[in-house]
Amino acid sequence: MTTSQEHPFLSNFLKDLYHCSDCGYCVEAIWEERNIDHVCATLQSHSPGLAYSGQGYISTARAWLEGENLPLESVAEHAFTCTSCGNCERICPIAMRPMAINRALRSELISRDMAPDSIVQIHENVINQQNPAGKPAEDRYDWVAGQDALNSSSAAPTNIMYLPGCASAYSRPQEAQATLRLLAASGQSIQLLADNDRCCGAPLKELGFKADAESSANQLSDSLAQYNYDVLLTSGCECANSLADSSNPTSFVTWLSAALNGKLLSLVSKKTTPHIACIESCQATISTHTQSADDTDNQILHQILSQLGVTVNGGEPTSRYALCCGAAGGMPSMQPASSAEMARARINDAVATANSADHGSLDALVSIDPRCVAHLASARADSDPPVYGLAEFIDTFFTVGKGDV
Amino acid sequence: MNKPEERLGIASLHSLDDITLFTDPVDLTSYRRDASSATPGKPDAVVRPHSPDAVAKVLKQANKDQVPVYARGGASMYAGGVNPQAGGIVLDMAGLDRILDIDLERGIVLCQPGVRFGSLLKALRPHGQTVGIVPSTAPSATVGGAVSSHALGTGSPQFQSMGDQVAGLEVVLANGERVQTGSAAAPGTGHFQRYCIGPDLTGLFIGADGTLGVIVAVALWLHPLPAARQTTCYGFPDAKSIEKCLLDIQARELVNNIWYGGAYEAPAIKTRISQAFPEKSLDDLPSFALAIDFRGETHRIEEDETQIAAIAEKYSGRHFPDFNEAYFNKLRTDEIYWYSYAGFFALSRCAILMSSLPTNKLSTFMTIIAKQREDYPEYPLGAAIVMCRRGLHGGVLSFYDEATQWEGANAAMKQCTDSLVKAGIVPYKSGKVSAEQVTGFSAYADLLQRLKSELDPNGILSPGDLGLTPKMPDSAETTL
Repeated sequence: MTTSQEHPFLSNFLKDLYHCSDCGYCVEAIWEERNIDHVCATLQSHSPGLAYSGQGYISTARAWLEGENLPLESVAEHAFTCTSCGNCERICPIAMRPMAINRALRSELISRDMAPDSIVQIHENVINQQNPAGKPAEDRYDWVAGQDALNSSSAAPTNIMYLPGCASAYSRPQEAQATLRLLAASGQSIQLLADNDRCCGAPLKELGFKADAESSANQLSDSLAQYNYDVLLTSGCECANSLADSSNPTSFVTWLSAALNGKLLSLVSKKTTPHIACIESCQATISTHTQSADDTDNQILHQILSQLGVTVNGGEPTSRYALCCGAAGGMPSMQPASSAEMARARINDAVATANSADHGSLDALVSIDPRCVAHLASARADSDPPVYGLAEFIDTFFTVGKGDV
Repeated sequence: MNKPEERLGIASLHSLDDITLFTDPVDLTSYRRDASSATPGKPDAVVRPHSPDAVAKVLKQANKDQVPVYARGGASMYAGGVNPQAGGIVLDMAGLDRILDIDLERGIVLCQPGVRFGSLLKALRPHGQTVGIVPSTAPSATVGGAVSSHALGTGSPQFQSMGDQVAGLEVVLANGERVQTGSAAAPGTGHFQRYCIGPDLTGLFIGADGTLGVIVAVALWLHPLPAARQTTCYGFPDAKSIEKCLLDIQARELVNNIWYGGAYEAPAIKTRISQAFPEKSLDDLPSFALAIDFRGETHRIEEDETQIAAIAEKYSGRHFPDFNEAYFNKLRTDEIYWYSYAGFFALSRCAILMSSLPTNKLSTFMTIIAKQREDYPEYPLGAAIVMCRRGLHGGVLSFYDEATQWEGANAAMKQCTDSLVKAGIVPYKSGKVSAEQVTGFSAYADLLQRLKSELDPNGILSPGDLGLTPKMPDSAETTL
């Protein structure tokens, strides 16, 4: 058996490692009564090998702790491939934490300089450019150019600090721009961190760079502390999760729901009942910033769309656990082909479900996390419907005004 | 020692198509065990076949090279059958997951062994159909694994056991030969009758833990989804009273609308009541409770419930509404009893023995459990009785800290098993956990060994299971 000095991260999980009962729910589960279709997108689209499952990470961690001479390159390949969607953790009947264990595996590997090059590159990107893609830090707010929304009245009732998140800022600026227009239409005053903005540390936390993740989060929190605002609003689900403890953020979808219910916005469909398919975000399912599993951002999305009269997936219920589209965790950098395949699988599932309901062709595929939106759009074929974030979808299909519908 | 992939038996797998092959040590760590407390094994390779033909090719090659093969499904069983203690190949059957046919006229669903019960139930629901026995780990448990290890599940009061729900099988033998059993043995006939042509060769492979052949297709009987559901519970003063009540219910065959019937002793009653009603006194609770989940036509449930209430009263049983609420509150809408499963395992990992007993030995079973508690207070023991059409299943759960108590817990469970067998209560499933007991049933064990020698002369299939002596090289360390 190992010591806590040898495995400082994994040794925090001894109870889980010796308690797991091998029921296999974290490998695969189909449970109609609970609306669970599948558990692990990695097993479906990358490899069926159990070492990529929650159970697999527990087995690997335990074998390593017990002194087995495992090839660490292979441990790293498996550990960093996981999307960190968290489904394995949510379905566990006895509350084991396979995702957290895998994060600890990653931290152990990082501490031994065994993180794969592509993962190290993400770390360097965040440290040096404050975003995981390594885009120039100074370009973070290029998307703001020409946006009139920032000229809102200072007499507005609520002062909103809008953090687009790295994915919106760099990969899906359309979502950030649409969000800004909706915020402005609601009559709110809007602030941006601009040069003081930076990655919240969520990608680093996910990949096991624990200390640097905390440092990034603290630096962002310190920046935010210099401003006065009423609401901290973010587009990224992962950002919202990451900032939940320190800054009490509101996700865009939550804000939109409140704005519609509070009659701050009026939305009139440009076309009669758009027909869309939602591709839910696993990061929104995690939603630690919401109060319960029944109140995730994905569910709020469905409530909003229902309120707006949008036909979603022909009325078919959606799975309780969203399968990752391949954008999350180490999957895009470690396994780009599998990552793209996951996105194709999600698009194909959504289109097939919608078509089976015979509601005519789809007008759009909608997701709420800009990272998912950007990734899905990159995998979209010409014959597929366009992919939108929620703000973009509303901006495209609705006439926006202030006040009641 | 050669690297695994350099061993003859494993290296030859690379030439096979229609499989996914894993030999990386990290990949192999996840295929060492099931949910049991049996000693794990270390496979040299994992093969995921993509077709029954691929299974046949793998077995043929493994037989030629004399490499052990352990077929594995969802691996949520607690008998250790899939633990590859002799090394070799784990055959991951979960990829063969197609439902081949739903034949409503014949009342048969034919599926590949890797189909998860959750997937099967979902596919059958639109047809208004279900299957008779549903394991408690149904979301992840596979049909092939359940048949091969003779799984327990809800449905046993009506349908007795998993084996009784099998209308026929397709099996690959150790030499790669494919065999269909039951009516499907006649070419072009398909599955519609299990007991025909000759002896029941289907039964040969049920509960055999893959020792005699690897199942590649399972035909299960279909049953209509019941229209209504109702639960009720009775409290009893002692084990003898509940035993007599169950005997009477079974003798009158008042089981046709019971989907689940379970008997629980005082510790379980107290735990459930205290969880559901924290404010209630735990004094004066009954010593035993009978929990019944009816499924069927409403008027038939009501008729049966009235008769069963009268029988219970005859044996000092009284309606126990608090337990009805406490036990069933989270189960009434579920077709899968994961709550029970989670309740057990939330404490710690546990060693489980599932036994089979005649109903008139229920009180004997409970006496042995009480003695076990006295002898091994360090391993908290749970016991539950599940009603079958005739007879009972008796579950014994011994909770332990796997980091420090694994050996002790297994030793304690062995004593419990020996005591039960001595009292005429037999292990329901064997795998490796009760392999030693099987070898003690001399004439039966001898016949089983002769069948094994005939069907698997090189002993490649699941060596170590059911106490069958493998004719293998000494261990997986040997260069094959």
